Amino acid sequence: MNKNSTYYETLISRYLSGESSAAEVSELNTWLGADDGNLALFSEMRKSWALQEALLVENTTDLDSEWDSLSSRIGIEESPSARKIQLQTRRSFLRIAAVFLLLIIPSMVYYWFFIPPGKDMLYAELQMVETTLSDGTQVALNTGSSLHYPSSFKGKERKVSLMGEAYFDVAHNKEKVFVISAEDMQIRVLGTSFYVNTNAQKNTMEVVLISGSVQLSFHDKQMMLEPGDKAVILKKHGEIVKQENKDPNLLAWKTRKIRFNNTPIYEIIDVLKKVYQKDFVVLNPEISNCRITATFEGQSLEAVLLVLQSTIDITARPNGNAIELSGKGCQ
Amino acid sequence: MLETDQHNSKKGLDRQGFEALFRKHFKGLTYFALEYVKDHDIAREIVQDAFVNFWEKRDSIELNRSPESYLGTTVRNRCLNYLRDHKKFDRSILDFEELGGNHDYVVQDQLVVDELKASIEKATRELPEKCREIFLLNRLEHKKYQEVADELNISVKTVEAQMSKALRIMRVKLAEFISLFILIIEIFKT
Repeated sequence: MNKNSTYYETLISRYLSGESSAAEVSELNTWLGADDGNLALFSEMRKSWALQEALLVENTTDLDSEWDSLSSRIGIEESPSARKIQLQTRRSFLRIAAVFLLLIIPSMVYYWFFIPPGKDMLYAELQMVETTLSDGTQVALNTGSSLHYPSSFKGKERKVSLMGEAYFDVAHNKEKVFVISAEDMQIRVLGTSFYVNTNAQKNTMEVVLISGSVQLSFHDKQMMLEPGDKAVILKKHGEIVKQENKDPNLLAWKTRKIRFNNTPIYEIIDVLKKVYQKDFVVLNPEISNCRITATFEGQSLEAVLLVLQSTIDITARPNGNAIELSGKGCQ
Repeated sequence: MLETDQHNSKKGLDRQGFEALFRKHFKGLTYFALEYVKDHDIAREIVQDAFVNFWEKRDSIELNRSPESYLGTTVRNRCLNYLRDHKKFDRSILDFEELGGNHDYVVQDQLVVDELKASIEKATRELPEKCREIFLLNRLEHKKYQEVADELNISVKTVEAQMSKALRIMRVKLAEFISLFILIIEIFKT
């Protein structure tokens, strides 16, 4: 292979991966027009590229999340899809309860809720909210989350429904099981404390048990949890996976206790985002290498950032609701 | 301008129908847009926008046009606008690419697709290690050459050379499918 054709192969692969400058495109264009053989080479390369890309689109597109993002943009509620119908049949005992359509999260996605009569709604719009229910159960809701609960619990079960991220410390009552519904998931407990997030990453829900025991059910799957267990519910696959909770900052949004132990910047950003509800913009990706060991208790974001800035070579500057991070990076 | 007050129009598409249409064509249209814009995120955005536009205009779209053809045209126009606005490509190179063939053409041959999938995956697996790593970072994680170079601590020139090499190897290994190209691409688009 002579140097010339290698040169053009590179030019073509740059073009196909969207890297070409205007000058390169124009050069390629002239070369293609000059000779049919050139065009044939280009065509073959383009086709093998395109086959690869077609497969990539096929394998990596998540239609559920694409649809969620579209339906929230045009402001239509989710249509009663097969999944929802199945859910209603499964929970036919709840049919007597009124069904309301509520707009609860800022991303404008609508969810169905089953709401018993005499209900209250708690929505943590701007910051974390803590409350005590009529049975003595304590609940902390993170920003953007909501809880439906009756003003007093009647019947055999204490039923509430959750959307978002919450911590529960359920008052012990052997006679009345406490039931949390979140989408298709149910958590049943007598008295215990645990963490729930119905909007965890990548279409999952998470439940982490702190003390006591809970029984989880999701469609036909059931699982008992022990303290320290983290259950990850894969919504799309209808599966529950048990893991060990390794996140020391799981409840930092509630307790304001933050612990970093040789933690990389990108994880630190995730924690700070959740605790302080700010966006972070990394101006120089190199700082992602930096790691920090530090603990904070009840500190303001400003105080935390001050410590970070004095520990590593990093600058934090507020810009609107976001904090911009820049710096030289670490080795 | 928007006809959002006509939600209950008789001829209009209902939400379920719209969702079904979306699920059926989103991937195909994304791929179609990708052929023009060569960037996954932009392709995805353009197709999302096209569906938003389609929903908002659903009551005024001519009845004698199929939704597929309306969406296909919208996506193509938006891609061309994007290329023009960003001064990315000129019209003539798109002519060389022979894009946007006959989009009503439907073939169902799952066997060919399965065989192709297996061949592409095998070809990717068999790339030399460094080459494969670079290729996957660029294609699967949509990282620009510069980002791949930064991540692996190598030069952009190296990324460029490895990408070109990957493409050369793929072209040889996928030769038998290249002749079936139009057929296969149409299957992916449905």
